[in-house]
Amino acid sequence: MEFHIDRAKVLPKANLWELLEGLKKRYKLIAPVKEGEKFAFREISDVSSVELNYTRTILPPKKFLLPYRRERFSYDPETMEFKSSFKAEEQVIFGIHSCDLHGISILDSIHLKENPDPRYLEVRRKTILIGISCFPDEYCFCLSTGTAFPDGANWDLFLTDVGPDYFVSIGSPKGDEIVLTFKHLFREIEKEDLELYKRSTAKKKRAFNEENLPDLERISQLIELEYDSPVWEEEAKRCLGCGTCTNTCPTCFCYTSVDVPDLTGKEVKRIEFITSCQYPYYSLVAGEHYFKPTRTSRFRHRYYHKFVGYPYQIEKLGCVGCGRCTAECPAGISMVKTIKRLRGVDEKELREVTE
Amino acid sequence: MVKVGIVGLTGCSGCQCEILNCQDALLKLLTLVDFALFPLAKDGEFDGELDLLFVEGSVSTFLDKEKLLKLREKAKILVAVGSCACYGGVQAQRNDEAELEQMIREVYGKWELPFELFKPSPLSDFVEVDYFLPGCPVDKKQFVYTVASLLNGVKPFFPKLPVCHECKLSENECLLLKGVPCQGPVSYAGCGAPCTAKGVGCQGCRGDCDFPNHQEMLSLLTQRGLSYEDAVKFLKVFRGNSFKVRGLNEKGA
Amino acid sequence: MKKSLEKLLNKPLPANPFLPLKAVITDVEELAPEHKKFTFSFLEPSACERWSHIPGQFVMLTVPKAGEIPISICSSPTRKGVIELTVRKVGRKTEVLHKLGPGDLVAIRGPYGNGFPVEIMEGHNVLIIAGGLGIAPLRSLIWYILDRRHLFKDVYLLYGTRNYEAVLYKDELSRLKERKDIKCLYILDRVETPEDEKWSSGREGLITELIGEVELEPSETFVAVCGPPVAYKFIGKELLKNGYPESQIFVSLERKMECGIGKCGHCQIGYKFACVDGPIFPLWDTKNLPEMI
Repeated sequence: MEFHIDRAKVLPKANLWELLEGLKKRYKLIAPVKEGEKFAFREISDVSSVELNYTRTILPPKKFLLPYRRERFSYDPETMEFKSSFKAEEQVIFGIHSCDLHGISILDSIHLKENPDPRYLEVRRKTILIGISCFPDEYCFCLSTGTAFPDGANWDLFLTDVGPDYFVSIGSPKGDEIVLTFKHLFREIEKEDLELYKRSTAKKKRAFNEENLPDLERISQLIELEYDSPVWEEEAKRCLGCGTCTNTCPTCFCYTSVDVPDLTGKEVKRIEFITSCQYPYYSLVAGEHYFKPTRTSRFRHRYYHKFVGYPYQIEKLGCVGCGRCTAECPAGISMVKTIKRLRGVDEKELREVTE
Repeated sequence: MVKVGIVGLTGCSGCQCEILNCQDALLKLLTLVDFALFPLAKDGEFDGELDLLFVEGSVSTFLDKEKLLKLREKAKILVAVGSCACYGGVQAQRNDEAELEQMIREVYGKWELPFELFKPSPLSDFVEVDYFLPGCPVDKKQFVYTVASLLNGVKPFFPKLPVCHECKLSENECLLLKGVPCQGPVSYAGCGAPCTAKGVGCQGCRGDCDFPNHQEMLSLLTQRGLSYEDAVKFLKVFRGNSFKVRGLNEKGA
Repeated sequence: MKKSLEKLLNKPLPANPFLPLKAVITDVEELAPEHKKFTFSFLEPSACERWSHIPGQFVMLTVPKAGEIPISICSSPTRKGVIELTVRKVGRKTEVLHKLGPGDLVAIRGPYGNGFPVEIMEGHNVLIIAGGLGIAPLRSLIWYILDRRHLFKDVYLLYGTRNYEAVLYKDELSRLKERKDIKCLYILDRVETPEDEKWSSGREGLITELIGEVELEPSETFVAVCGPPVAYKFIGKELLKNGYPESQIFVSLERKMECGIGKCGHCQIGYKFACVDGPIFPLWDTKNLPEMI
């Protein structure tokens, strides 16, 4: 290799569709599509519907790794024999932005490190992640969370838009295999490609508006020290407790399990469904005791878990700056604004942030 | 065999029809229970004890009340089915705005009627109700789950999540963000959010979720073009006369 | 690909941590109104032999058709072969459990949680403070200590509950009172009947009143506390007032639990998970974990 970058290739943009067609033939292909004014990751039947320039999908690709509702197993209540019908499918998720790749890496740490979940591991092994570069809008703050670029993440291929071509970084043996399989679509890197690639990083960085970025230095300590701040209650007053922030979050993982007997009583299914810490029942124990009894305590808990809980558990922030919780909140509550208020940024500056 | 009753008071019988639409489950149920009393689907009188009774509709007449009191005595478990039985239903939405006499004169042109009427009320105003299955109509899956749990001697589990939960997980565009009045954030999920998926704002037919933030909901609705009075009326459509705006100092707020 | 991830993905598939083992109820004892002690034994003899736990740990018990509940183990690991759980009838799942009897099948997975730091406690005095149903996990600790009595110095048990009717393990605790190697102080919220009078020797009041009467050198003592959530603040305060170091006071906390292995999130206390980082926490953690007690 001429430039000692043996882990990268160039994919001319015109060849992308053929690559997607090829992937669709081999695997279940998942990619972002446009729906109404928003975007969503869907299983693709027609590759021309794949959206390459999207801002953010309503839900993160998490839903293909951890379904929102699934059967853990079923059992016979007479014999207490348990059986699982779990099956993982080979799939390619194409077009994931850097923030979501980092989100998946956080889920990996949670589900694979301590008490590993074999279902997650199996799905994860059978999933190929192909990322794509993006440009921030007013809700993105991945530059602050250190997730604007896919370094150190856990993807197989990453496509960086460098104008006429995609600069394709190869992140794993599986990614390398894809490049080999479709080698006629790729070409070797030239010196100019490398220049363009390097420039693209700077270009993305410059695209952020400083006012939309929170200062996350020592954020864990800030949240702990400001635990009794009146800001929490003021912001929580507007919170509907609808759980949209956590349901759209690429790193939230909480779920509830419930046993559902069938009519005959011969089979019971244990169903897991994704839930939210914003729902009162989340902390409710038998005997009608709520451990998080107020809206403020539930509202604050989300920030606390993201910025104090995750760092304790997995040594990473639980927020990847994708902006979904803010962009999708019906009440318009902004994570960046709440953090800025906790930091004590003055009112004038604050107005500039929100307007 | 477990004796089951399904009866209707004042209402559209839509919930009973929905129960009849649970075809697969009904076929199984027919071998497991005895539908002793189901006037909509079955001829004949039944006057005995019932293990499980589902009641649809609101209590709006003297006849409804008599029937309900009598049935409650005979039923071990009583389940209110549908929003009329749970909250009074759409017919109760203006209970606090007009006198009964005024309403009856408006509709029937005279005050004297062959039987006594009163303001449409939920079952719980007259008898003890064991479980509530709100919805307009009741959700089939939830009905089957309730029956299955009760037949197995387990109480059903109903966390009152907001409609936003199911709506967001179905990956619908948020209607409130698009400017459409929608009650999703304060309404009790379980329906699968079919209305919002079709672009119609949630009407709150299943009543309140746990600890709803009515104040913020009202302010969001007024920002979307409704007057405050209209916004309150919108929330009252299915919540009936039991509705009141919850203060922020209340439990769970 | 990052090396750490490569390692995680290339591990062999682990056993499903959610899969419980079949167990049978061998005995049910009614301890007090709404409180029953269930004795379980695994169907598979090897599972019984393999089983060991630390006092203070809990199991996830599958009540057929109703679901899983976290219950702390009230039997001592020094008594092999059985698992005992004391359960109050308080919700939709425990109601179903209370209807079960000897011979009925259930499923159990665990043990989970950290348990009391029994090894660190060795060579020290132990002060055990139980309020109401809080005696259940502490019963495990009491018998663990009594069965290895030579490893510990002086041991105190303070137990407070509503009235004599609500006292759990009545016979066992009466017999403990007779023993010389453990000092027991019992108190009741209300002394109304002759039985109440006899049980607490007429002592009426809150458990905090007993703490001052304990004759132990606080710096040489480990304290184990379990009781209703409201009690911890007062007990903690009284212990600190009496000079017990907060790093040597261990409290057992209750939270909503669904998975027991740090995956479902429900049991978070501050930044920790009650199921994997707890349920036993040093009182010192109140400084770290907001809303812990």
